[in-house]
Amino acid sequence: MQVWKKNFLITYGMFLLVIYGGLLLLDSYISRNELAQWVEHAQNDEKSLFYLAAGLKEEELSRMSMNLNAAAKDYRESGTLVRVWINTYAAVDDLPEELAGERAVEIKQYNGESYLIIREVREADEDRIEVSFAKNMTAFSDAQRRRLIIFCTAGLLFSAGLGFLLYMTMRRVNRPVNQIAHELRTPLTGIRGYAEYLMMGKLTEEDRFFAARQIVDSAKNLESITEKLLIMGNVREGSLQVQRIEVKRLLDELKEQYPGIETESQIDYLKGDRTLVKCLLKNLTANALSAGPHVRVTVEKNFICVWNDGEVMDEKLLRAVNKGQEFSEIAGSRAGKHGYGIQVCREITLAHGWRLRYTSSEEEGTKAVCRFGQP
Amino acid sequence: MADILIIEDDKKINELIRRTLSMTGHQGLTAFSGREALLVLEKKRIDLVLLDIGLPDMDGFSLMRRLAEDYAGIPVICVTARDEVPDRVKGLMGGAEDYIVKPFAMEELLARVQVVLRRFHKEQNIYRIRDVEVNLAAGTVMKGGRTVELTNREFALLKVLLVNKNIALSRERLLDLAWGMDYYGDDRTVDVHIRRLRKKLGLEEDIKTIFRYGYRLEM
Repeated sequence: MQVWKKNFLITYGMFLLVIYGGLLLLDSYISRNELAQWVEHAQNDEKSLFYLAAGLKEEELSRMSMNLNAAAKDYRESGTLVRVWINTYAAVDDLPEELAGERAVEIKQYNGESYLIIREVREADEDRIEVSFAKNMTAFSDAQRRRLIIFCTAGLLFSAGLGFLLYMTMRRVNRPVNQIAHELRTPLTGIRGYAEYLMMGKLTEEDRFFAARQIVDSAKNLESITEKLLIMGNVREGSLQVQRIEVKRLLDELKEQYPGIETESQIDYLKGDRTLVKCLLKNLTANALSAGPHVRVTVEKNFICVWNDGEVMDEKLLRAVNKGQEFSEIAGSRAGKHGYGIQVCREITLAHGWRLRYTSSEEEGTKAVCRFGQP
Repeated sequence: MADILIIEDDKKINELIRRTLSMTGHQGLTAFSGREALLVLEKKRIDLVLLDIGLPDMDGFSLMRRLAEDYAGIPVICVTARDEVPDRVKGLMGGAEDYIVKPFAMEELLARVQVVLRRFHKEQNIYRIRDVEVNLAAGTVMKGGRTVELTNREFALLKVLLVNKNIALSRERLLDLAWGMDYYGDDRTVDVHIRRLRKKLGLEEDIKTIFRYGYRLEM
């Protein structure tokens, strides 16, 4: 597995731990508070019932029982079962034996439902009053469970979304590193191979010169790739120095480098980063020249056009370069060896807020058109 | 020696491999695209194909499938810059006999070529240097029609020199190849054995000393 994927998995795993740990802590904190409040509420209810029983104990048994039963009925309707014993007399007894508790506060299961049991036994004026109070917790537990499910679902959606973003970001950051390593290998093979050839073989003077020339060429290729990568790195970091560029001078410099090309300009100045615009024109021209011998560079009010009459680009390749695919994706195609050039041009135009589009047909030849705003 | 087709779109690398193979006596045929390679294969009998995966006109893996269908029996070694495990697996599962990642050492390429040729019984077994005839398969050495007795180590060293003929090999490399990777010998061990080989076979002129480096058998 690639290192960045391992890093992603570790980061994502830690992130999940933090997210779910945090959510579970939050849920447990809220649940604990709610339960404390709920128990306090139930204890208050039980106390009211106890004081009611204590107040009625002097009355006639049948009347006392009637009053307590009336109170118990209200509790029953809200899912609470009560038992009131005064000495050995059961004034109210809704509580099944399974729920009869020994401790002051406890939670018990009955008929598949949870009950909070509160039991209080006190002596009042030589009488023994025992109040047992069983409050149905099912609705409370369901509400807590629902909240936990909502927390987990929210955590899952959030972590999935963030995980996707993290993966895409890490892939974007790491992919160029792989591509750089990949692209540097060819010139490196040339340099190493010809150096070994010089060292190992029984060679003529001509062979030696040939090998030395290949090493120099490969080193130049390596230098060119490195230069383009550095430009791409600077562009991506956004270090752009926009200035007025004299178009005539720019085209003259280009013509000096590529004497066979035609140039034409309708405007005197354009705005952009001089070094990068020069690099853009150089790459577009070099690519055009590698496709065909006749190349024309035109700078107009709204665009730069580099035309060539070379081999027509096929649909697939045209789509790939216009979609702005990474150079590794178009490697293996005709644009493969110019992949870096294409990528550099795309990065430069994007950094300026311009738009680069390739068209190619038998009638009109191949054009790379870079559209920009008013100069 | 073997006829080896080099399918590599980078002209410099293609030429480098061709020159290195020809130094050891193989004939390197060059193709810069998949189509060119198929044309060469139609016209000539090929013993081994060295294939770059990133070709301009077709994917190297597709070409390998085509080779497996139409030219079964020709071994393929992938020589590519793609070093990711899925690519290696795809190459080897697709029928490649070996997979070499760029940048590679020429000695390594030659060694792997030799191994594949041996596996397909296309390796050269008989070498002649003036009046000396060496049969690698039989393990015999004749000089002027008479058998020369060599120790196992001397024969192993001679074999390494023959397989890598015209290539300078360092003393360390000779130790690795003839004595094995786990042998902790002195560089002088190589010198002593080379001296004996030269004397026994009369190859004083043919086994050249490369100053401060190693030896080369020139044929």
